[in-house]
Amino acid sequence: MSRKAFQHLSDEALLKHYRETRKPAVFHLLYARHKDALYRYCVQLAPVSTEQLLRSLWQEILERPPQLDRQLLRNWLFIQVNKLLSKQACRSREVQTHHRTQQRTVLSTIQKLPAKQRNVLLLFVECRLSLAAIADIERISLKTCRELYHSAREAVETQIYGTRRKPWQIQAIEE
Amino acid sequence: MSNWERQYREEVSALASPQQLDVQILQQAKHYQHKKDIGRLLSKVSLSGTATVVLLLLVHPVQLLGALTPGRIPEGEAQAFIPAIPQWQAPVLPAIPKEDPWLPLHNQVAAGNYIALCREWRTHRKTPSGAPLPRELRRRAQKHCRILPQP
Repeated sequence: MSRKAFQHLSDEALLKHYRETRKPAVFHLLYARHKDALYRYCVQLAPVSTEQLLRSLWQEILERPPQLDRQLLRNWLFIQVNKLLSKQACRSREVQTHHRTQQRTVLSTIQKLPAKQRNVLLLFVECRLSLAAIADIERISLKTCRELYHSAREAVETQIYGTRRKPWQIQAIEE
Repeated sequence: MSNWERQYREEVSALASPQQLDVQILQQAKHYQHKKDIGRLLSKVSLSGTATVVLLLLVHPVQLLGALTPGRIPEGEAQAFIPAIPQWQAPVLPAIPKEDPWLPLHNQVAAGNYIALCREWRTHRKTPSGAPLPRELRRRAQKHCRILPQP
């Protein structure tokens, strides 16, 4: 079967097929689908150790292709990356921003957000996970997750566009 | 999608997984490739080989020798075939030795018992239609048996 024949398959079907056959072509297709999203997410959270993190994530998939049990591969990948990131954060705190993100306004604004807000925002905007999945990853309630997301959005908008304009206050002109 | 989200997508599109990392991970994937099952491969090869041999044997022109219609045999070959048919002889079967019917009588005579021989001899003399006694037995009977008066 050529690579084209696999292209219509879902991530989960591809992973199942890879688990059975261990064909590099199948893995290549899976990797190509998710590599950039994972990289963009990781580089905004742990710019220094991104490559190492991704290498260990893919190594784990190669060694033991996961049993998804009706879970989406996309969700599984970001859950695993989050686990790796939290382990990494325990070992060393990365405070420096990546040189690639420094010159870009929105990216640098997102970098200034607190870690939790940044993670929630990126998981929603970049990784396109649902708020419920993000709440599971962060181990917070859905309500808190939603509040964090909205506050992160507001913070970014404020940083970029400034504070919201308030309506003119009409003062009585005293003569 | 708000303006900043659109701007974010534009900015982030420049960020892509480095090629060096891709190459490393894809190289690793090759190490986890299943090794080819030599037993299964050999079995497939032998099966297809056997099938080919059987097919060749069935289609081989040797199968058609002797199966040609007489009209299609070339002139020279036809003459070579014709004399062989009348000259055919049934294969000679090995001779199976028949059992001697007079053997029990011979044994009795050899043991000195002439009663059965004499009875046989007299019966033959009365009705000579049956098989005659062998010469040896007949001589013995003439020597030892009495000719009984007719009733």
